[in-house]
Amino acid sequence: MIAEHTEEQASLYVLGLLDAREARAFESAVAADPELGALTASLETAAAAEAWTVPPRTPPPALRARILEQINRGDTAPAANVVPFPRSTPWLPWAIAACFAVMASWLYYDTYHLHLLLDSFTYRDNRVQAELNHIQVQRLQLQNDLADSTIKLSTMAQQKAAAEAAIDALRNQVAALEARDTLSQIKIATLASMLKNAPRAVAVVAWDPAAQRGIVQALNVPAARSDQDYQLWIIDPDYQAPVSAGVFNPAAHSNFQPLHPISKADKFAISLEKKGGSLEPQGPIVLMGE
Amino acid sequence: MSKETLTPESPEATLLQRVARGDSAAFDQLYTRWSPMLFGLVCKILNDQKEAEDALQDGFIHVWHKAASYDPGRSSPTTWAYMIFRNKAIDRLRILERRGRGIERIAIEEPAQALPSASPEEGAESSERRHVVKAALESIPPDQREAISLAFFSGLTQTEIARRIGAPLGTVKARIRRGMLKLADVLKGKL
Repeated sequence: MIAEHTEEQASLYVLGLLDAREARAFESAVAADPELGALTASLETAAAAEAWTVPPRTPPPALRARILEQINRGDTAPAANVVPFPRSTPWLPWAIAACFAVMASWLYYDTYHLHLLLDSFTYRDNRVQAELNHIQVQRLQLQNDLADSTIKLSTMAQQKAAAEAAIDALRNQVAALEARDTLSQIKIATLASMLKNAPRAVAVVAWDPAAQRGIVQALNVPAARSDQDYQLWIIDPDYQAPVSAGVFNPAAHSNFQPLHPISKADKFAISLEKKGGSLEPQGPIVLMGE
Repeated sequence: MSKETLTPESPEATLLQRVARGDSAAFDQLYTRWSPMLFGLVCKILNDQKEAEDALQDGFIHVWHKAASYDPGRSSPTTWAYMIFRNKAIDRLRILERRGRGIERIAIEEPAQALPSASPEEGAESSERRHVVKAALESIPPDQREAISLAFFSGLTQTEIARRIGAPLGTVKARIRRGMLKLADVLKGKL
């Protein structure tokens, strides 16, 4: 299969429309390609068809004699009379022509090879340029991908930060709810005076069943003797006897923790015990409440 | 492949073989057969009697020296000769025009003269070929024919042809390519 461009070159070649360099290159191509040679031959026949359209003409009889005389005497000089040379130096035109021919051949050869070299470089340059363009396209694609990934990463980081903030908020809410729940479970008990000499004595107990600890604060309670201590008790139906929550100073609020785990704090009581307290109530109950 | 290629013993091929061996009598016979058609061709291209005579002389001297280079597998003897003489005339035309001696394109008034053929068969064969060529040329579009004809006879460059026709260079090249391929196809084995 011969390319259209080559067919075009062949057509122009047989009509003598290629310049010298193109013609030489085409002749090289023909020498290397029998199919192209056959095409060129058929195109020469096609071109010669034009000549068949020209009516024949009779050349002057003298011309025949002139030509025959020329070949018979072996004179191969061109018949052209376009450039007459001086008769005094008949060798000069030939010498000049030979010089020109040598120079022209050398210049043509040199130019032809330079053109071939240029074509080769141009071809390589085009290929390198094509590869460079391809690489640049890939680079742009990679840059776009990188930009997309960076945007996605940034978005994901923002989403992560938002999620973490939401989690923190939820944790805070949970903590608040837990705190609220804890407060809701705290039991507050007011202990009334059982003392005739101190009817205005009162104590308040805040009991956290989850934490199994509490705070007690007494007011208007008479000071205990030096060998006595006020002791807090928790009445739990799971125990037969009140559970000790320890001795405390009624002058200030005191933290307490029962001696045994409390499942249900039905009542709180304060008794006046010997110094250091007792395992079970021994002294009088001075304050009591639910 | 041409008709003469199939019959290498055709008269013109045989004469060329003899000319290649230096047979001047064979050359004389070739001159008798070919000179009218070739002179008509160079006259049409050069449009100058003297220049046409010189071109004809150049061409026949070339035939005398280069007959051995004729390749029967490539073309018919007539095609080979036509292309030689056409190129000689075009070369001469271009040289003259470069030297500012552009030939006045005045038609040679002398009417075409038909020489007696060497034989009745030869005249019939030539007439048949002209008929075949005429039909082939009429089978291609006029714009393609115009481009090819101008390229063959005028000696103009591609650019000059495009300017003369008034069409882009690419269009002219395409017309020439399509027309030449069509002609080659139609004339296959007929010349």
